[in-house]
Amino acid sequence: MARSKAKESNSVLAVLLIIAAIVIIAGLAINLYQAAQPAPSSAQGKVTVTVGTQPPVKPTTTTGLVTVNVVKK
Amino acid sequence: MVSNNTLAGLIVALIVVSLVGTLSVIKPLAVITGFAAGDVTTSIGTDITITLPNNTIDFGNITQGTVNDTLDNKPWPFDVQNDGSVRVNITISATDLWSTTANPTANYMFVANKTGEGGAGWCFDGNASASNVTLTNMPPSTGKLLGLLESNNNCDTGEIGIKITAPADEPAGGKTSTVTVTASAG
Repeated sequence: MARSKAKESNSVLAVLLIIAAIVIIAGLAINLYQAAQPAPSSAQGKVTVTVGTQPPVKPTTTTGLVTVNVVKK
Repeated sequence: MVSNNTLAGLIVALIVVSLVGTLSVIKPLAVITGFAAGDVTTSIGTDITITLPNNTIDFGNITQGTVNDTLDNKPWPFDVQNDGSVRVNITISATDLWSTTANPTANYMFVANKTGEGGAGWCFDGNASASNVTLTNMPPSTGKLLGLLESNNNCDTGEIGIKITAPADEPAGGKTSTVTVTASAG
């Protein structure tokens, strides 16, 4: 009777050990899988452009030429 | 001697610890990582730059007392282009073309006109109060040419037409006038 009870306890222990092993191995596998996956990336931002309106700039000058050759009547 | 009940308790505790540890480090797959957000602010300073893509008008030979102009695009008129970042007002002046008649003179005139750029619209303020859109005697010093020339590349040019009348008593020979256009923020 006592031996039978001990056998039962050992069977329960064995099942628990198997479950523990499965849980640990599954957790390890999941972590290894996730570590191997490239992390998806996304970026979001706002660009604000301000065009200067203050006129600290000095006026700009450029030149052209008008040429002509006058001929007598 | 450790009893089976104690061992079973330890194993159950091991399972619980392992499960909690695993669940706590699993990354939720739906959540995007590497997410970054921010604001970028930049300022573009005022840039005033104009150019004359066509900077020479050569009328060739002209007989004393006769007229020629660029209104028929023969020769081609000046084109003034706004290469800066803001709208500009542009003035004009020129050295004398004739030796017998000093500027300003009806023998040497200019006019602001639209180019083909911008379709039917104008790239500058075509009102007479802002631009000289009728033939005007060329000034020896700063005179109004055109106002508020746009900086948008799709429409940023204006035309400077020239009309000359050779004075009847102008000596024969080559004549040259330097035309100066000056831009300031509009």
